[in-house]
Amino acid sequence: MAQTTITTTTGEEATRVTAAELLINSPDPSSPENAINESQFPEPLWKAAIAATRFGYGLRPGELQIIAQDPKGWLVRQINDTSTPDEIQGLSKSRDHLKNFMKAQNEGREGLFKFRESARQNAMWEIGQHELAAFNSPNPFRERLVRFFVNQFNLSGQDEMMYPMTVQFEREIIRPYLNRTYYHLLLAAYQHPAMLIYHNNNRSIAPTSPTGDKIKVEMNESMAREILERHTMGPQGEYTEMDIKGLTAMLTGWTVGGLGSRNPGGFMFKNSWHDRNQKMFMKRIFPNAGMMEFEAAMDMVARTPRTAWTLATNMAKEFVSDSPTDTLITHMVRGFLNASGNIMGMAHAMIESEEAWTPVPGKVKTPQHLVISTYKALDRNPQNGRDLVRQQTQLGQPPYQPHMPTGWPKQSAHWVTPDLYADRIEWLTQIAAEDRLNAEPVDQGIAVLGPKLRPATARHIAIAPSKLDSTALLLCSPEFQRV
Amino acid sequence: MAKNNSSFHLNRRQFLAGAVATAATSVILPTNMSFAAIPSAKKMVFIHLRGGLDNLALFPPMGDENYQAQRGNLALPTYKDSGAPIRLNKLFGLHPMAEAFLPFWARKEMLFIPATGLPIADGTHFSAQEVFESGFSQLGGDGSGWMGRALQAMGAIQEDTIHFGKQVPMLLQIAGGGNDVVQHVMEAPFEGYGRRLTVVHNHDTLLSPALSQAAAHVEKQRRKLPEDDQTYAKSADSVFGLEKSAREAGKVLTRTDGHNIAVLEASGWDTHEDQGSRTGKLARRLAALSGAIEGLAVEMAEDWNNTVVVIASEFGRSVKPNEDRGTDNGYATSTIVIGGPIKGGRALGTWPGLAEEQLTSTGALKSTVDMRAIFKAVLRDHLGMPLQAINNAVFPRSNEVAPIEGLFK
Repeated sequence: MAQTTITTTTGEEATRVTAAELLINSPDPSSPENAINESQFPEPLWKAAIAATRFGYGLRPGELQIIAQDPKGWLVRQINDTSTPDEIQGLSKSRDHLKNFMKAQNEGREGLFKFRESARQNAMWEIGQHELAAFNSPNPFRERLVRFFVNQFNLSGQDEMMYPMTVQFEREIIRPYLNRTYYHLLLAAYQHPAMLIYHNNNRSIAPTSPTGDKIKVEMNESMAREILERHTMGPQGEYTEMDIKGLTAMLTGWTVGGLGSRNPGGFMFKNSWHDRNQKMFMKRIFPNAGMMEFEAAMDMVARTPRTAWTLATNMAKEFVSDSPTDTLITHMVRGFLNASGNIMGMAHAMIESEEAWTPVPGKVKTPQHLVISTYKALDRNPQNGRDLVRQQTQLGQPPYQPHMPTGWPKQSAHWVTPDLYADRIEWLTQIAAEDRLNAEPVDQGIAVLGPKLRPATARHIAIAPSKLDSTALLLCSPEFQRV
Repeated sequence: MAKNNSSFHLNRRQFLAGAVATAATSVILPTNMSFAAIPSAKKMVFIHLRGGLDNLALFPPMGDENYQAQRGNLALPTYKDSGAPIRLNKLFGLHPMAEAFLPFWARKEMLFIPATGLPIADGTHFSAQEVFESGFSQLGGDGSGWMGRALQAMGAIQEDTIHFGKQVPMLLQIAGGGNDVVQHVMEAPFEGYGRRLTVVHNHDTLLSPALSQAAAHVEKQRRKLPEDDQTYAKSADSVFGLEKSAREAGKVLTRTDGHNIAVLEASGWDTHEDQGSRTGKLARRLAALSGAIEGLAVEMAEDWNNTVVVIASEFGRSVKPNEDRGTDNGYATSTIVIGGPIKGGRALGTWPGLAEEQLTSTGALKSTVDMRAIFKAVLRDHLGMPLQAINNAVFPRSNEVAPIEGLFK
């Protein structure tokens, strides 16, 4: 059996863990309740395994040792690396997409049909590039934060018009604003055509506006409601229907420029559509001030502890636990506020917390995480980005297309319903049959799970009757499926 | 670990099998798969979807005014709504999870015949699959299959025909047998895998019950199937294996030394319960099917202008959902033809309609094109087989079924 050597931070004394050792130390596998023995392995190994799976996309063989040199530092470095992955450079822009759409509209049914067909095919390829970026990235934690925020704004490519724009929104808003304040991210997000169009805010015109004086018009509450209910204060937030109405009025005239406008396909504020009355929001009076009303309102909303609390809860549920403790949330809120509302202040506080590193089994991987980490564990590369997209889709998570208005659910239980779990086990078994490992599966297990691999599981992997069985058991093990 | 036959005498078949296995990146072939060689520069991949493809889910007839009402809770959202199908033409959409088909359609390399049926409308897998594979107009053939007879007539050397998997499908049998040797290179986990999975799961309070419930779910679905379906379900292959098989087939067919015909099977289409609509079990299988074709085309890119892929199933599903939110065995289904030489981007043949009076007496979609018309067209127009030979040897007593015109550029 090959020897897996793992070196700890200090390097004073190399800590060697071999498969054989693990097996010798393993308690009787017939009593599966045997607990994980934390003290059996040095802390940096535990932390490296957790950093890579709970906050990243899993390990390739050989990576554990590198990350173990400084697990927390590995994550912090990623927070500060604002470079754009090569895979997604030079892709389409929402402005061009919308200009082409408006031109196609003028060409009638056939033109529109051709436009949709080619836009969708291009987006299929782009989504593949995003998956490839996630797979190849030296900053997997950052990539997962990006996805978390895309989901936080719950846009879905299920809507045909949105299909290409969801990834454009990620490239144009989420990535550039990830190291800024939540306030700045919010302001940018609601000026992006993807958001304005998804919520039909681009057609929201106040009855008490110059245009409303002349023709019958309608306001649309959808975006204001989403902002308060999901993006900021959350369902427990102390706001009323009056506040939604106030915010809706502030957002009248926030639209997308037409072909003849001064900003075709981009954000435009149309004063002639904007409500000329004063607005009430959060028990304050906002005099008519055009675009500045909403900016002031967002400044208030982004500062409320409720918003920080909701965002921290969502982030903790994405990475750490289905039911994070108040201690963790408080810690993350404090980090956020201490960093003057900077998003990465919250992410930083999360990885500084003790709870983030508890060696108990974490959340169940989403299909995206499962597919990427399985390829990595088998030391296999996708043929292209579409390869990853197809596997995730087959497992019930078509990338960027959540079928629920709240985005992909965070609860682990969602992914292990009998129907989905049957397919998941079948997929994992199938892929084990496709790619038999060169190494002994139990060594591979130690390499990609580190101390997370329970001795009893390791023993079952080692004594399984074939390499296929061993590899399949490794991939299907709860240790591999959880972060 | 492959369980190859351990004869010391290396005959030609074994040599070829070895060559095929070497061409493939591994010898693990998750579905039944066969390769044959005929003297032709053309290539063909035939995929049999066992169990009955729900064409109304794959190609929802959005333009049929009765679609939403007849499909009930299985209908996809209208074009105005979120989760709508991809628009293919005025009448048909494409299931959004099968979007991997879209580039073929847009490049005009894919067409489908929306309502195709067998000469018998029996509704049991046993009968329908026999007629689908035998190519005879009724039950009770000689055990041979139309593809086997066609390949024989076109000069396939029996010794060069290789089968991987559990058994040689009847589709490829020839009269009097002779090609029933199967290379058992398909590998599955050993007996006891389920028990080992259970033990490894034991300590996990969420995943352990998830595993047992998943197993119970699979078992319950199997038990609920009619007796005929149960027999069939026992031999079901994983649809997740289809992409792998398709890609391996693509690799074999693009080698220069001979094999140019591949026959694949995929099951998992017999969706009697909880088949889902926009999402769910069937949607994930449609994703796997379209993904398999995408993977195959990548492997066969250099040969694509000589390649035709036929995807066919023995029947479709009931138009209306059943009480278990699934569909029962129906009659007509869609047959899909993809490849470089195809004059695609079209649906070919007439649409029988979904109004009550337009359905069969058992509430299934009527057939407007005999499947044999499509198979005949592929044999004649792609593989160059004379029609007289087709009518004599491949589909006997079917002179009245003319090959469908206009499949090819």
